[in-house]
Amino acid sequence: MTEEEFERLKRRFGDAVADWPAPYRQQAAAFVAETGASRVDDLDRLILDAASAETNEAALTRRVLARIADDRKPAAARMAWRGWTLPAAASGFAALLMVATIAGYVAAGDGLGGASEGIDDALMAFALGDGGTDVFDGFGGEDGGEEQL
Amino acid sequence: MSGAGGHETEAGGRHDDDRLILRMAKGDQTALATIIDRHGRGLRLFAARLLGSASDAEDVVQDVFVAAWKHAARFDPAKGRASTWLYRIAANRCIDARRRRSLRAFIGLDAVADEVAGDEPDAEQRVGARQELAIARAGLKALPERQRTALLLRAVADMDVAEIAAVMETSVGSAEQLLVRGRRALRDHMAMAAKTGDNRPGSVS
Repeated sequence: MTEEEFERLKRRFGDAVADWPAPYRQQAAAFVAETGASRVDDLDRLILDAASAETNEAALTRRVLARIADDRKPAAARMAWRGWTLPAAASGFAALLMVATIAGYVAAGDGLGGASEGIDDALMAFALGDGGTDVFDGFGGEDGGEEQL
Repeated sequence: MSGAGGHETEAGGRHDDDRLILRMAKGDQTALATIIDRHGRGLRLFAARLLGSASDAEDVVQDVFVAAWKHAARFDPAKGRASTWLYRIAANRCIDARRRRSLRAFIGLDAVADEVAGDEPDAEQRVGARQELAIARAGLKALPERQRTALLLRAVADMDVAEIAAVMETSVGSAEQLLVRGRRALRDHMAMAAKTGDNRPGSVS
């Protein structure tokens, strides 16, 4: 019988080996006699002794109750904090988006130089029905189409 | 054997705890104080030996009771004992605390130092019986965390294998293996220390 089997049987039949059914009881008794399985309890006792230290439940209770009281108190404060942080974050994000958009327009405007005015004029002419083909010729033609831009 | 923590194997103890948790769910702080009185010491010893740090253990145990207070309504007596529930919270908090400590040590905010009261080998060696305790502590400290957890739940919380498995969220077979291997490793460590007269933490597997 191994220690694992002994533990399994202990779980199955209880701690008192004397109450185990016959075939197991003798085997367990032999195992205890041969290997000293009763040392398990001794080891548990030793571990408990090794873990023992001074504790103060009254002080622990005071600290836990104080923490619970603290948790209650700042609940309103936390709500107030959350109350203004969300709009502030949304406003900040909107402002950032606006700045990024303006910066994008500025950067794009600089890149096109004066050509943007030409595009605007051409698109306006196209919208007014003024020689649509001429307008598109300007974008794709071989002779100076790129120059319009 | 009398466990420092749960040890309410009698139905009365169990039902008392269940009732106390139910009262806590209704906001009864007296019930919380009674639960702390019953299980505070066991949880404190368990966490201190598992973490190897008295201050971390103190924080963990406070967290356990604050969490139990907040979530008392979630406790279901049909699913297990109150002590098993408390120790499961404690085991999880210990894992978190260990991770936080490792992170703090990694980024240099914290020196990794174990400081549990009673870890004074020189003082321990003055008396033979205490020397044995010092060797046992060193052996426990050197065990793999899960083996140590299983042994402490058995010895300190007086849990059976099924309860240990429930706390550690593993199968009964695995919990049994952890207990057997942990005991064997601890015995080996003690036998080795007795031979060499050395009680420093060694490599125990």
